[in-house]
Amino acid sequence: MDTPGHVDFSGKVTRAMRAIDGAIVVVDAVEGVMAQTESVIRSAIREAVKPVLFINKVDRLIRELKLSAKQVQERFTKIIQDINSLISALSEVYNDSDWSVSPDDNTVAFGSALHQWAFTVKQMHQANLQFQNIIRHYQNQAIEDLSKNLPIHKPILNMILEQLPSPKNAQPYRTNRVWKGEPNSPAGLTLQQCNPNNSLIVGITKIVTKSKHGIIAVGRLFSGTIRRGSQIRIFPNETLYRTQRVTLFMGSRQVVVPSLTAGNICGIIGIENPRAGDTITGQNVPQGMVPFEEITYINEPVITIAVEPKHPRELPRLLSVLEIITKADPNLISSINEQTGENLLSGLGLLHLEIALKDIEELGVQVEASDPIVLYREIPKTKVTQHEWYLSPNGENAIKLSVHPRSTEPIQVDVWQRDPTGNTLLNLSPALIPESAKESIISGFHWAMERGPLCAEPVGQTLIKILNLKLSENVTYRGKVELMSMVKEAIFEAFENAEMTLLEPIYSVQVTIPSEYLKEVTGVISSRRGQIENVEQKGSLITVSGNLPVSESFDLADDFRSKTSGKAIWQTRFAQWNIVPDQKVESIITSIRKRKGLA
Amino acid sequence: MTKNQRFEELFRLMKDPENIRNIGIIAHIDHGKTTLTDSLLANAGMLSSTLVGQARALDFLEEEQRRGNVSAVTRRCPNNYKIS
Repeated sequence: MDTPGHVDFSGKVTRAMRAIDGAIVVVDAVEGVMAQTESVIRSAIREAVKPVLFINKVDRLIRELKLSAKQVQERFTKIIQDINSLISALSEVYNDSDWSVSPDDNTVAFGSALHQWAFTVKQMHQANLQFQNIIRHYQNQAIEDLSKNLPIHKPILNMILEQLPSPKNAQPYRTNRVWKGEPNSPAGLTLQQCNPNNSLIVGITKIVTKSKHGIIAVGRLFSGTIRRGSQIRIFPNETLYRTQRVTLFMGSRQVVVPSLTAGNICGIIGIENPRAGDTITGQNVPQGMVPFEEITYINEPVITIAVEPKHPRELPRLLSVLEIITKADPNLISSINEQTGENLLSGLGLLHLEIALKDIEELGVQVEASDPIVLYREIPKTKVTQHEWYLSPNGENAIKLSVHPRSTEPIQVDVWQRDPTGNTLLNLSPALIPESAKESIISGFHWAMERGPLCAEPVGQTLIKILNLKLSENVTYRGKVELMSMVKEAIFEAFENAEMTLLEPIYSVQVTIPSEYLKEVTGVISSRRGQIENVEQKGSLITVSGNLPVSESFDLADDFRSKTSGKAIWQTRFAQWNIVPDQKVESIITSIRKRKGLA
Repeated sequence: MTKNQRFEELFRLMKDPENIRNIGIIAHIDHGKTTLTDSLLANAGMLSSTLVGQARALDFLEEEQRRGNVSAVTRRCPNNYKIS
């Protein structure tokens, strides 16, 4: 997979980085520093994670490239220089102390993970060894001696212990990078202290669903102690859960432990529906506490694919796998197309869905996926008030209503219903309405809004006002179907008078590049119906912010990469729904209708 | 030390945050994250050395490994933790 640093990963990368204080950057001695090496280093330093370097696959320099000791040395120097120019530039951006690595201060090791040997310069000096000795081992086919004399874990663990910080040392300077609250508030100070006796604060980084213990929320214990039986909650929600088990990861195994203290990474069992990104606290929190991540109360998936099992008999397994992956990733939503019976999977972007498909296959179901589909919304062009009564099919009931696209007037009266795509149903009728009739009218509202008249996409951001209502005195004449179809048809008639158009999803996009690529990047954005909103310089890097339609974003990754030699770090995020330009509307409607099999 | 005693000792050391290192292994895809992780675990007695490079360790982080992002979110290395 490519392009971390892209939105589809950014939440995940940031969360993983939040849990750790130091990182071993592994670089292939043959390939050197690559695009992804750069982007993971950027993510690490952004979260104040200190790097050390391990130059790996040195065996290939000797065996495949047959380099001399001097040539090997030159290659090492080049890699270290490349890494350091990046680290220095980033340290400058974030006003950090310089975390450049150097063989002399034990922040660089060299070796072969495959053959399980490694060394630091210090170690070589102490043992009075030359690189020539290592080459000789390979010439003499004595690789096993290398792993005995220079076992890989020694230099690596030494670097970790001596050069990477403990939570106690790291939390004072990392708090304001991984947490947005006020650093000098009681909550900020608590996070900085890493004290087992303070209030409990855990940042959840990952949900493990495949476990014999059930669902485990895994996260970093920044403060306090978690015990079996502890009362905990997902801050700021107030529902309390009892900690059923606390687990500790030992390699791939999970060991149940009675308690864990500040600084550790813990597994918590007992929280209902935990999500990656959640903040777990006890009942009481220090003053000034804010969650690590804001809870996004509404997911706005903007791209959908249809997913079918290759073998129809695997459908039940596919459904259970879809349940697992949507639980682990709050931004994935699975649903069923009621017209076609297809299983739909919606997400934040193309890459996001590609990863989800890989996950599905890895959980053991072979699937076929449709081409990605951008989701649109239908919306009236103008406000329309229907002054005539609209009759129900039997003529015994009648309604007057008005439709208001993107209404901004404050709503104080009786809101009957809001739906997930931002539509509202208001009742201004003076009539007394029985509960059963109210339910039927709400159902008719949903019926109209779920499938708009243009191409059966949902209606969005529209306010429907019931201005007046006449209901039959006789209950049998105001049955559910009768009222539902009256409301739906009345809304559709108003839509016809208003004329409908489409809303399309818009990404906000943020690209960081070395300043010489500014022109290329603004070119890519504007050629895709995008707009540049801001250009900001920080050190030698420039950040361009703007927006572009989701439908124009499908091969954005390739475009950015090729035009900036892989130097662009970028992310996109759903921003808003915009009206589709007039000249585009017709062709979009035609293609959606064709896809859906509508006449 | 028996396995149990070793675990008790580890668990005791982890109570002091000075003894903890929470680290990640990060790299471009195929630069050797998994192999390094396996190698370290093998040397810590948590994985047979014959399995090194076969991506067996750290199941729970497999996704990140596969995606070339961040892996090995948790390795604890208390100061006097003995490597078997």
